[in-house]
Order: sequence, then C-alpha cells, then structure tokens
Amino acid sequence: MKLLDLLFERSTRHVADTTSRRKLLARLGSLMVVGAALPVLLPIDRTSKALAADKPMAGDPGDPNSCDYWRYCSIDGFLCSCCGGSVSSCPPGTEASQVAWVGTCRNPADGKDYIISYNDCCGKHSCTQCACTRNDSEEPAYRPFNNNDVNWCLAAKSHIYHCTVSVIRGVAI
Amino acid sequence: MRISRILAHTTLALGASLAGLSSAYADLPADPTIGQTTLPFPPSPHRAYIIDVEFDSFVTGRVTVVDPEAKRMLGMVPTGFAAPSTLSRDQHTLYSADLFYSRGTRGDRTDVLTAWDTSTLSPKWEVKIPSKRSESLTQRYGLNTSSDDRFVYVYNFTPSTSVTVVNTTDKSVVGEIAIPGCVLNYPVGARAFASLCGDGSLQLVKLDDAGKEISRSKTKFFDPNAEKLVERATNIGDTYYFVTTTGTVRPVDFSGAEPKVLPSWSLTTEDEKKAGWAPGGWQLIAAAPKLNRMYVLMHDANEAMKWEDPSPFVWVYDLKTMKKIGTLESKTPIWSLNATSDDKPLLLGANIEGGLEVFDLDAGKYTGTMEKIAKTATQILTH
Repeated sequence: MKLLDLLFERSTRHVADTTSRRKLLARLGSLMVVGAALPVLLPIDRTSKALAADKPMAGDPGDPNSCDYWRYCSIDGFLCSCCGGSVSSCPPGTEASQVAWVGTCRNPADGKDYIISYNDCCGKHSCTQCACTRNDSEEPAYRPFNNNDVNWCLAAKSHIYHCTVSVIRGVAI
Repeated sequence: MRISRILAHTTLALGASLAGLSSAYADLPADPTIGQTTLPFPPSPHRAYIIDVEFDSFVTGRVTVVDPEAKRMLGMVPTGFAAPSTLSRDQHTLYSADLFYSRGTRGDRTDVLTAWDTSTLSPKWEVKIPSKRSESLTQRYGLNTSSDDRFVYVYNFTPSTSVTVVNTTDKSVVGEIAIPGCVLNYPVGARAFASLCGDGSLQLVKLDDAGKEISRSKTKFFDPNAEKLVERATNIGDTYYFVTTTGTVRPVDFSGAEPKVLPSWSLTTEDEKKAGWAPGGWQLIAAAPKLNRMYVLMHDANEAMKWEDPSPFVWVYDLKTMKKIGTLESKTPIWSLNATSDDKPLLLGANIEGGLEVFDLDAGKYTGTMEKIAKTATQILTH
C-alpha cells in the first residue's frame, strides 16, 4: 500500500536533498509533530527499535524494523515487524493476502538480486507503525504486479489493510 | 441536584456583579432554532474538494470541501475505504465509490456508488455496485462521468481489470466491461472511455445510449519497455496529457473517431535534463483550460525511484508553444495538483503536511496555505 511521502523515512532524505540544512532542521521539527505515530523518522528511535528487532541472520543483514533494510527496497506501507509480526509473518489476528506484488532487491551480504513479494496482512485497520515507502523497482499501474499503490489485500477475507511483510521468493535470474 | 444549586447561585451572583457593566446593552435574543447551512448553487468556480484517504484510519476517509480564496472549510463528505470520488459535469453531484464492511473492518462487504448533493452535502441516492472497485490510492481516472453525466464509470481491480457502468438516470448498474491488460477509465465524450494498456497501447471502448459496449479499438501509444508513462494524466476536454518519468509529454486527442497521438515534447531543455530536472509526484500535472497552460511538479536531482515523490517546484508551460513560461514554488513540498477551470484560475496543491497551497494564476503568485486541512490528501477536485 501507498503512504504519503511526508510520513516516510525516505522523504526525510528527499527534503534534505532539496533544502538547506537550516530549513531541514525546521522541517524536521514539524515532521516530528506530524509523524508522531511514526517514530521510524528519528535516528534515535531507530537505535532503540534495533534493540527490539528480529535478530539478524547470517547472510540477511540489517534491521527489519528500519526502512533501510534491504528487503524493503520497493515496499510501501507499514512494516509488519513493527506491528506485532515479523518481516515474514503477519501480526496476531490478521490474515495474509496470498495475492501480492513483487519487487527485486539486492542483498548486500551476497550481492545477489532476490525476488521479494510484498504481501499485505489484512482484516484490521492501519497499524500506523513504521510507515515506509521505497519505490526502487515500482512500475506504473499498467504493470499492476509491479505497482505498490494498490491495496494487495485482494485475496484476504477482509480487504482492510493493516501492514506489509516482505517475503523472499527466490533469487532473480 | 446540589451541584446545580451551587452553579445557579454562582451564576446569579456573577450576573448581579456584571449587571452594572452590561446595562448599556439590551439582552441578546434567544436563537430561535438551530440553523442548517447549505452551500450556494452554482458553486464558486474556485470551490475545491480534497480527497483525503486518511491512511492512518483507512476504513473511513473523507472529501473536505473548501473555499481556497477565503481559506475556509465549507463542509465534509464521509466516504468508505479510500473511495474514488468525482464531480458531475453539471456541478450538482459528487460521486463516491464507497466500500463498507458490516462490522467496520470485517463482516459482509457492500460496495455502493453514492451520489452526494453538492449544496447539502447529503446523499441523494445510491446504487449497489459489484464488489470489485479498485482499492488503491485514489487517482483521477479511477471514477469518472460521461460528458453528459448520463453514465458513471467505476474502475475495478481484482486484480482482473474492468469498468462498471452506472446509469445515473435510472440509478442502475448497466453492466461490467472487461478491459484485460488495461487499466483505468479516461472518459471520452458522452459515450466512450479509454484505458491505458500494459503493451503500450490505448484502448478505446465505445458505448451505446444504454451504456453497452458497441466497439473497441487499440492505438499504439508508447513503448513500456523504453519508458515509464505516468498514468495520472490531465485533460482539457478530450485532449489528454501524459508525462513520462523522464519528462516527455505525450498528448492524445480523442475528439475524432479514433485516438490521434499528437507530437510529443519535452518538459526540459537538454541542460535542464542534465542538471537532473524531471517530473514527479502523485497527481503531478494539472491544466488550466482557460489559460491553456499546464503545471508540473518538478524534481531537481531526480532519481528514477522518486517518480512519486513530492516537490516544492512547479513549472508552468504554455500548451500552444509547448514552452516553459514560468515557475512557482511552495515552502512545503506538494504531492498533488489541480487547477480551476474558470478564466481567473487558482492552482491548488495538496502539500505533505496536510495543507492546501493556493496560487492565483492570473496574478502568478502564491496567496497562502490552508494549514492542516487534510491528513492524507491524494487528489483535489474542482468544478
């Protein structure tokens, strides 16, 4: 699912690209207010989140509670790992939709490109934690299975969107 | 009750002590009744409707009605689950394609097309539609009317794609038209809609007066393996303007029997392109028909993945000469644009802090921001 970019970690970087540092600091002040439910924006919060993160696996580096984690290269929504689930499991009482869209992400550990499916967990309303959008391999709507502006709860009993998991489906050829 | 007696005594005492001060004024009369505000018709050409999908509370969204000149909220329409919304051509109706579950987030699903009166902001009628309507961030060509308002076209995504045709005269669903391999509905005249297809073509479906399909054709439009064409176009009448993520404008004229792809042109000079300028945003382009101008959200230091990112920079183009004739800038990055269709138009931009940026295009200047008028605004509609 798609979120407004302001609320996203990557947008903070974008703002940094386009404004002076002084303006950025001023902007961050307002981001903190607007993004109060989205502490992933703040570096200090990311540090504290890391303590609660899933333990890194050998060959799968990074913090699944951080928008920078490699599997999230094309995600657009709330990270299920911050919502009571994990990078590949839905939070309690939500249902995984088996219809999803896919992106291709490079694993920094082995340098290989992996096919990642971004399955939505559904049936409760927005998790509101760890909003993250990264459109690295996103395509326009006429290529729907590469588009993340769609609610992919399409195969769940209730289509109400909660959060998104990022599942390795295989190595891209 | 004891508290009431204390309160009454206190009030009396306060009244007595203020009596000397207020004696110069007559008592205000009691209000005879509670009023009921309605909005005037015809609406001001500057009235705007902000589609707010409220991502943090997605089950219900809203369309917030505002006066951008007075920077004043006029009212609100509550909608169901990221509901696509559009205005009728006769200005009387706002349509929303609502999705509801009987237990809020679960239970039985009901989809309806709701017709709201633009003066009372109350539902006039509704019709149940197939539970297939697209669930995505709302976009301009997900829900539209035919040019004579007889039909409403609802874009469906299951992920099979189709269009539900609703007859607004007898308030019934005419049927569903499959558009495999293609997406969205770009209304063309009174009896047709186009769709954008994954093979780079435009499909045109023509309808009869009952809303049934009578023909379809495909026209080669762009190369999807060579460029990304943003589906969120803008139009003046039956001429549509699309842009690619690298800044090529691809216009199409649908006014003839078959679509005519017009010559493409570039938003940037070679130098500007080399400097990294490229378009990006959600509703990243808007047209002011009376000025024959187009407004585009532009990024500096562009990267491919920023194609849906907001920007504070708006570049202004003359659609006749296809040249850039000016720039506008907002303090806060804008995600979606629209321009009003009158001869003294406003450019409206939904910014990323929930504000609405207002530019007077006649004077070519910024007139202010309506702060915190929305949460997750995806589109701005105008009459």
